[in-house]
Amino acid sequence: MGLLDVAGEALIGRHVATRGARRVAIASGALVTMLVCSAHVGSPDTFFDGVAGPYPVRVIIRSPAVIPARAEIIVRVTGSGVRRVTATPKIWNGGDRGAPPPDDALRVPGDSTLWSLRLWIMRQGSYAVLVRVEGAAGSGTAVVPYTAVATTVLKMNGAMAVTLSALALFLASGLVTIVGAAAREATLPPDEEPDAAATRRARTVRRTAIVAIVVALAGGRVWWTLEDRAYAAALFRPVKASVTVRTDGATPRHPGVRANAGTRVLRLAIDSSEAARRSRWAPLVPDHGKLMHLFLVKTGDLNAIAHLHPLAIDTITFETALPPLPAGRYHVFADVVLETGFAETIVQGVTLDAPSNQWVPTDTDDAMSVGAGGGSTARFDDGSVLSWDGVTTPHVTGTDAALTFTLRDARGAPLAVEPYLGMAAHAVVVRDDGGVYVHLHPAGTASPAAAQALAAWTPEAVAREAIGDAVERAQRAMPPMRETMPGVFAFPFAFPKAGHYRVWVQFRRGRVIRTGAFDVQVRDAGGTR
Amino acid sequence: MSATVAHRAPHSAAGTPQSVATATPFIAAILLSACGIAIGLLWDISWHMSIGRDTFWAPPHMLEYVSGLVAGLSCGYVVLRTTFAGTQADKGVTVGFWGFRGPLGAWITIWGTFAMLVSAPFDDWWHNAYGLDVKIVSPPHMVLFWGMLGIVVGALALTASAQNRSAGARSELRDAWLYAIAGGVLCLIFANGTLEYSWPNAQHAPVFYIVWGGVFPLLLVGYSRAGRLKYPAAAAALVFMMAWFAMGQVFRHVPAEPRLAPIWNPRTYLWPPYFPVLLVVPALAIDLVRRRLAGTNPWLVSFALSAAFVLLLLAVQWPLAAFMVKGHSANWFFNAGEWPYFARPGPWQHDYWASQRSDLGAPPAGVLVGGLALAVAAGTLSSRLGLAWGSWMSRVRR
Repeated sequence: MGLLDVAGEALIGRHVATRGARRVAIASGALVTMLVCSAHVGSPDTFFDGVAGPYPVRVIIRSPAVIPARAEIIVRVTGSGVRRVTATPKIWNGGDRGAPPPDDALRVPGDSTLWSLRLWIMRQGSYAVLVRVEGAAGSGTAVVPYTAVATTVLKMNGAMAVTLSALALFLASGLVTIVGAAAREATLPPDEEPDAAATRRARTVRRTAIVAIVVALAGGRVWWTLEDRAYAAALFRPVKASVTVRTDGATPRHPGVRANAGTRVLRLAIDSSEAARRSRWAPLVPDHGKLMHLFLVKTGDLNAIAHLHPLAIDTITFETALPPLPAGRYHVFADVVLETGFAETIVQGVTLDAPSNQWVPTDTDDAMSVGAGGGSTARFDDGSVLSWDGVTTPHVTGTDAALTFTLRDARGAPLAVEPYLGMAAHAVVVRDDGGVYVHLHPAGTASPAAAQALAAWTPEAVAREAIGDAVERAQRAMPPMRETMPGVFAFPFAFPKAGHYRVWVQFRRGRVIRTGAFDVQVRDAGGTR
Repeated sequence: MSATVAHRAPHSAAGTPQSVATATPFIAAILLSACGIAIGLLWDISWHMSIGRDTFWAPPHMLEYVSGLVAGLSCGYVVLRTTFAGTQADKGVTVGFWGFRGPLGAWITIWGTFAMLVSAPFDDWWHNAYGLDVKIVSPPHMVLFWGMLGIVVGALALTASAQNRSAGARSELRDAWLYAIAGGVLCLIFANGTLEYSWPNAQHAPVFYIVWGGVFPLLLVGYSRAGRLKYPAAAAALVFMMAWFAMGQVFRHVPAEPRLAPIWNPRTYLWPPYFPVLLVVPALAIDLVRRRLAGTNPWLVSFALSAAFVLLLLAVQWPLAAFMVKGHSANWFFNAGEWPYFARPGPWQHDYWASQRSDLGAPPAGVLVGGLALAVAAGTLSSRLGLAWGSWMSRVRR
């Protein structure tokens, strides 16, 4: 499976992918205010690595900031004899009949494996983007979960406002002149000059017209303001939640949250009134077997991280025993997937005191790590070394981040790993200000549960409350822990913004979950994104 | 076209030499452009209901642009020729605008073309700010609509002045019919604009009568007052109905496939507009009442015109709507049961919308009577404006 090469990706970045964004940002001279995306934070694009039948594909979906709009789809297909690549968006509740006929992708000039097209996305929500490849080896379809949300409010800049105002003034003065002429001389017999009365009448009519135009323009302004407010109200906002920490006594308050006396318990409660207001809110389905993946990342130096799987106390309340993280302020990123396939990250902050007791993890897959990030390698206490193969690449926004890692023993021989949450490895990418947060898998940014939920969705399945079961069944088919997998991890991703990032790679070996931390400085590709 | 006419310089039956500004082919070209605009608009709406996805180059857009440009350029040519090469007689049938001379209708048409052009960058910005078109009625589309309306009103002014100039001449009947056609096209534009309130399912709700009572008496009373046919409002209404019906017949033979998700209602051909509102009946009443009450208090006349319009509209549309919604009307002739691709099938399609789609059934009698009273009130104001506008239109000669 080919990683996007830097040159190819840069080509897309300059010539194809950012065309829409650049048109918004530059051609109309607009000021774009980025708010939040849905799953992940500050990184709206979808990255997917997988197969379409016999063809390995990497798919990038450049999410537009306003909806409805066209999303740029970039497909790299490796394998020979590819004749045709198509894509179609299937909205979560639309079924096969609800999907439009597929659109053909065009080859990107200068790269025979790269295809691109723009898909029309008319509504916010979750989609299965069906990428179909046809060629000499047959045909196949990759299902890429994609969450479309509107995130941006566009403000009109000065030049555009002046131009439109001048044109409006031109039209208004033209109209006033025309009605004046109509009143003055349109009813006169040929060759007759308007008299003083006609001229006076024309003046009155012109004044009336000016008043009418001003009233009409004022009405138009009110209308525009209402439209703008309605659009702003429909922008995606992540659901809110409160995060609190308490210390349990000898008997844990909830039997599932195993804890010693004095263990700190984190409680995350989703704001149900907020969730209920949102029409897209729906029951949660497990992702990698867990209803919630909660990350605590120390603010500032990023020198501590915990990956926890809180227990659902009820449908909106989650609790987990806290690991012995050092005292300080923490970002809280909680990933959930709704049964509509909509993946969402709840963002919060919490301050932790110094740990006082031994940690009994609430979930066997909970893990934590404390320490600074390395440049190119992370060493573990069993002598193994995780090295970042792509660390020498200059890291630029919008281009392939080259997140390829290899686990070796002390002598340099490659090592195998056991599946961790059904995958060879997980990666978490956070910018030092918390403005970017992404949870990655070798398959990309998309949540496997979203794909499973989208595949299971029918009105009947919703009525029977069967989507969660279908997703769980699919996840039970994931590789069991006793199987081993090669210790080479590649995560498709491109850094969305410049800045200082920490990349954590988590895997399981010898039944121990290990976390390697890497630091990287990313520079701006030129201000297009 | 105008140039050829100008060189030929034909004479009207009245004996006055025809200038480029009053030449029938010029007026016919503008009228044809107005037809193109109105047809393009309904085609565009149908395109959005059937295919969904469009581009700058979509065929209905092209028809609208070409119509707008033909109208604007023809009028621009007439203005320049009259201003710089026109005789005193040519200039005598025109009005002045910032030092230039041209027929009033040409100025209105040129204004409409400019408004259409101005709406383009505004609409482009709007798409970037708020997304591609989801609503037909948006501020930039309103500017576009006013531009289109300008071209159609320009055609109406040109045909009105031609009709008034040819009074008593051999060409009077022809010019009166050109005026009626322009009136029908204006009705067509407004029927497009009020489509949202005019589905057969909405015709048992007061809002349909309020909207139609507020809009159409203005047009029809105006035609009735100014037209020189025996039944001018009825003629214009008939033109509208025939055009609307004809498009329903043509569209259902044009293959189309929805291209946007989600598709709740798969289509295989363009959405054909449902059977037209039987506007000719209340229009005929307007012609008769106006003639009978000519010379009495204009507000009284307006009230009578409005009451006749609203009650006759109710009398014909109520049973027609019942047939369209509940009867065997889902056929090629009536085009009932035709829905956009994005219409999610449900009981709302087979019931009346009391106020909106989610509120099914007939509205309470009190609400209906109150709504009809409001419709008559709106219609009275509309008719009064129509009388004033028609009076001016009956005198316009330039």
